[in-house]
Amino acid sequence: MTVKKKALALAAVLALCLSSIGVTTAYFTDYERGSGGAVIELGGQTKIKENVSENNKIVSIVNTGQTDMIVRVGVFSDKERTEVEASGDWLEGADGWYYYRYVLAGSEDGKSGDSTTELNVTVKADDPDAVANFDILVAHESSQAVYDGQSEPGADGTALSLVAPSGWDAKTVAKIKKKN
Amino acid sequence: MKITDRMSKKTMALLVAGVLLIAGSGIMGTKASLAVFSEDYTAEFYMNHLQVHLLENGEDVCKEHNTLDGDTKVTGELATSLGYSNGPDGEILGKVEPGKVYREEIAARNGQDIPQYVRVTVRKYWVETDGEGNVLKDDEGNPKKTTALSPDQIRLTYGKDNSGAKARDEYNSEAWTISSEESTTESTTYYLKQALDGGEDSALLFDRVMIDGNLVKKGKTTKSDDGEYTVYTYEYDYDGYAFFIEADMQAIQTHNAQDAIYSQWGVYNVTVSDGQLSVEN
Repeated sequence: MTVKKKALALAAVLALCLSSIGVTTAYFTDYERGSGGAVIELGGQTKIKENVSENNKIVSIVNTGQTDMIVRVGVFSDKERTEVEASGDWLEGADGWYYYRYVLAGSEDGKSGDSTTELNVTVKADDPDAVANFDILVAHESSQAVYDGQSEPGADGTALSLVAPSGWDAKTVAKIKKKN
Repeated sequence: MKITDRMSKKTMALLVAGVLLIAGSGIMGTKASLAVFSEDYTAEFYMNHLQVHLLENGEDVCKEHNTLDGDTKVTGELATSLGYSNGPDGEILGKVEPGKVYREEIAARNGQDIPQYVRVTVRKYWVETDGEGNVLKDDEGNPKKTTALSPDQIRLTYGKDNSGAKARDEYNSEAWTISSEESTTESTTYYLKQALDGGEDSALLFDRVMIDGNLVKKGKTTKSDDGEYTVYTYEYDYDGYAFFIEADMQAIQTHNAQDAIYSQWGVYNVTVSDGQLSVEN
């Protein structure tokens, strides 16, 4: 009995010692934290204006959304009898679509966004009857401007290259730049 | 018998007086010596401690870091180069354009004079907003995370050249190493391969951040007519969300570091020797 008691007492003392060692073995550590983020604004809205007069169709597109957009216009008709008059602001892609060469900037209120210059589609015909029965289909597509992630941080608009949405002519889209 | 009685009374009286004297002087003596000892034992000592700073674009994210007084402020803001700032109600102002590259240089600084080992856990996630730029909070007051959107679209990268985000490294693997055991899809832990000397800054972990332009592909287009013009509206799944980056920089002593790392960080796949750290994945 006494031997057992002694053993128990010794064990208790050892346990006490060991536990106190555990407490004293604290290590030096430190930390510092940071967090932050930003809202990503996506989506957009564009309006196409088509003014028809005699044998002319005048097309322009305005950005009525908040984000920056890129636009293209397709003219579908008998090529031999139509003429597309596009200023230097429009680039004709390999796919036959006309790409506006500048990014259309959006605006907070959606009212003061950029607009394209006019694209003039004319029917070449001397006979007024032929003009009256002639169909010109003008299609319009736009996409939010998406950059290719290859610029330097803080690069201005003219240095940024865009990614072509699927189905768009990548070589022509690569020429589209932001206006300064 | 009488004389003896008288003698013993005298002796007794003397004895009592002597005892009282000795007792009295003894008490005085003890008092004096106590006072002297207590003064001797009043001593101050200074202990070295660790201090690590989280750097973003060369600046400490937390200006008031102080681990000595116990009143610590060790959290700060990240993603400050994205043109955003906090509004009066903590709302996020400013917006980020997809595919555009922003500066986000993350590193560690040793704020004291003794070396330390460093690790950092980086979390990336999307949070819901009310559409006006205010981040929605969950029941505990933390930003309301969404798991519906992929953290992979938040791309932190590193690279000496800039030949495109796809070609850039995911982090600076020359100076840092990933601990895959401690990492998930949302969070990754990186260890600095070398002990960070006193007063030194580590090599950068990342240097750029961008939101992948791929997220513009997930959405729909609607066509309508406002009477005068044809109106095209584009909606995307990620619209109205905010992305968040979080970094938790931690330091530990280099002396007996192996045990310290087991004990404090609870990891067993990290080994150290001669100021070099390696992670077994």
